[in-house]
Amino acid sequence: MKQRPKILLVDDDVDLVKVMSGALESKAYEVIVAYNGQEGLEKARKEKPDLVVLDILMPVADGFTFADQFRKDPSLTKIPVLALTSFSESLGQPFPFEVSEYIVKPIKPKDLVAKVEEFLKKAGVEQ
Amino acid sequence: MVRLTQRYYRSLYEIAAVVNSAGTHENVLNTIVETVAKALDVKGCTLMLLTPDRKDLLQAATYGLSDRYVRKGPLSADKSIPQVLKGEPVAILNATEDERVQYRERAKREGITSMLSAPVLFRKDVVGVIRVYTAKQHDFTADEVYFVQAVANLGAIASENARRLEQCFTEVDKLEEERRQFVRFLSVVAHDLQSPLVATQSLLSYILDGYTGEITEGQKDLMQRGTRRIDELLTLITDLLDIPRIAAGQLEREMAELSLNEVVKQAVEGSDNVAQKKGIVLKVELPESSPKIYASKRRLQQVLDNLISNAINYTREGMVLVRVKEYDNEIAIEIMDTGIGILPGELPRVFDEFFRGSNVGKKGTGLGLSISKRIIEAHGGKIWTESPCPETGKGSKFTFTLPQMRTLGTEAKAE
Repeated sequence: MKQRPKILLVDDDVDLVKVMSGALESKAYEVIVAYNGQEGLEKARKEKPDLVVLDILMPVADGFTFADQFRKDPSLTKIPVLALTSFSESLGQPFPFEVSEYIVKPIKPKDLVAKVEEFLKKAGVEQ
Repeated sequence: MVRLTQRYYRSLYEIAAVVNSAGTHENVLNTIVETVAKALDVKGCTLMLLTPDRKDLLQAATYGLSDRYVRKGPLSADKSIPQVLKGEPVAILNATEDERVQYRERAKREGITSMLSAPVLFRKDVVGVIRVYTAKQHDFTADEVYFVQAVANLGAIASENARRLEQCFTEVDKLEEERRQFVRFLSVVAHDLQSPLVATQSLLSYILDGYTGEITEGQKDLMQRGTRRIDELLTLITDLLDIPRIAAGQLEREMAELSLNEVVKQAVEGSDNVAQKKGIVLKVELPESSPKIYASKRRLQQVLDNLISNAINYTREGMVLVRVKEYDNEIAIEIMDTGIGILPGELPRVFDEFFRGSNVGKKGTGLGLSISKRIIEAHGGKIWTESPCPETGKGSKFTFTLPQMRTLGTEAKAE
C-alpha cells in the first residue's frame, strides 16, 4: 500500500505552522511538526520524511544549526530541504549551507503547497 | 665649547624627531630624559608631571638612576619645588648638603652631587618638573638651563598630543563597538517586528484562498484591505531599519562586481506590467557594452525600483525613460518621466525623510528617496533631481551616478 508523502515542518511560529500544515494536509500529505531545531532533528531521524520545510530564521540561529547537523547526518542528508526565509535574506548572501530551494516570506499557504508538489514530483516521490 | 653646541643641536634634532613620531607618549618621554642625560653628559635625568588636581608630582620618565632612589619618596617634599612650580629653574650645587633637598642621605648613596630642576611648560602652564643629576659637582650654565627647559617643553607638547590622540582612538573604538552592537540589536528588532505581521499575512491568505470554506465578497474585500495595510507596515519597518543599517556601513558586505545593463534591464522588466496597465510607455537606453560597477545588486535594484515606480506612479500618460550614460570616471543613470513633476519650492526637500510632494496622494512611506540617496552615497555616487526635465520641459528627471570600477582603489577589488 502506497504511503502518503511525509513532510516535516520545522518552524517556531505556531500560527504559521497551523496554516501551512492545514494547507498541506488538504492535499493528503502527512505532516509532522517541530517547533525548534532540536525537535526537528529528532523527528527527522525518527520519521524519515520525504521533504523538510524549514524556517531558517528561527531564533538563536536554530534553523542554521538544524540544517548543519542535518547535512552532517548520513541518514538524513539526502532528504531535500525547502527553506523559508525573509525577503532581505534571500537577496543578500548565499545560504551558508545547501538548501534545495527557498521560499520568501510572507508565504501564501497555497503557494507553499504548489512548491511542495513541484518538489516531490521532481524527487520522484509518488502521491 | 663647539663640541657642546654640536651635541645640543644633535639632541634637539633627535628630540624633535621623536616628538614628531608616532610613538606612544611614554616612549617619547623616555627618549627625552635619556637624550638630555647624554647630551649634558650627566648621571641621570627625571621627568615628573603634575596630576590633574595639581597636588602631586608623578614620575613620568627616568634615566640613569636606580629604582631604589627613584622610589624614595614624593618629590614635592623638596623645598625647592614650589619655586620651580612657579616657573623658576633651581640649581643646587651640593645635594648632599643643601637643606632644600629632602633626601640628602639617599642622594649621597646614589652618588649624586649637583641637581638642576626646571619647570616643564605646556601652553604657559607649569605641568611638571624636569630634573638633571650629576655625579661630580657642577655649576649649571645658562645655556644648559635653557637647553633643559627647551627639551622639557617639547616633551610636554609631545606628551599631551600623544595622550589626547590615544584618548581619541579609544573613544572611536568604543563608539564603533557600540555601533556594531546597535546594528545587531536592530536585526533582532526587525525580526521581532516582522514575525507577527508575516504570520498574520499567512493567516489571511489561508482564509482568502478558501481553506476555511467559502467566504463572501464582503469578507474577501475586508481581508484584502487588511493584507494591504500589513504590507505597508512591513515595508515601513524594513525601510526604517534600513537607514541605520546603511549608515553603519553594512552595505560593503553586499558589494560585488556587477554588469550594470543586466541590473537595469531586470528593474525595467519588473515594472513592465504596471506601466502597461496605465498605458505608459516604458523605454530603456543602454550602452552597447555593459559598464562594470562595484555595487550591491539588491540595493541597486532597490534604488531603481524606487525611482522607476515613482516615475510610473506620478505619470498619468506619456513615457518613462531609463537611460544609462557612460563617462570617464562615472556612470550616470537617468530616469525621466512626463508626469506631474515636482513643485520648485519642494525640489530641495525631495530627498528628506518622510517627504511627500504636496501635489501627490498619501501612498508610500516617504522614505524611498531618502534611502535611495543613502544607498547611492554609500556607493560613492551622487543623486539629484530636476523638474521639469530639461530635455522635455515637463515631468521630472532623477539622475544618480556610480563610480567606474577603475576609479575605485585596488582595495575594493581585493575584497
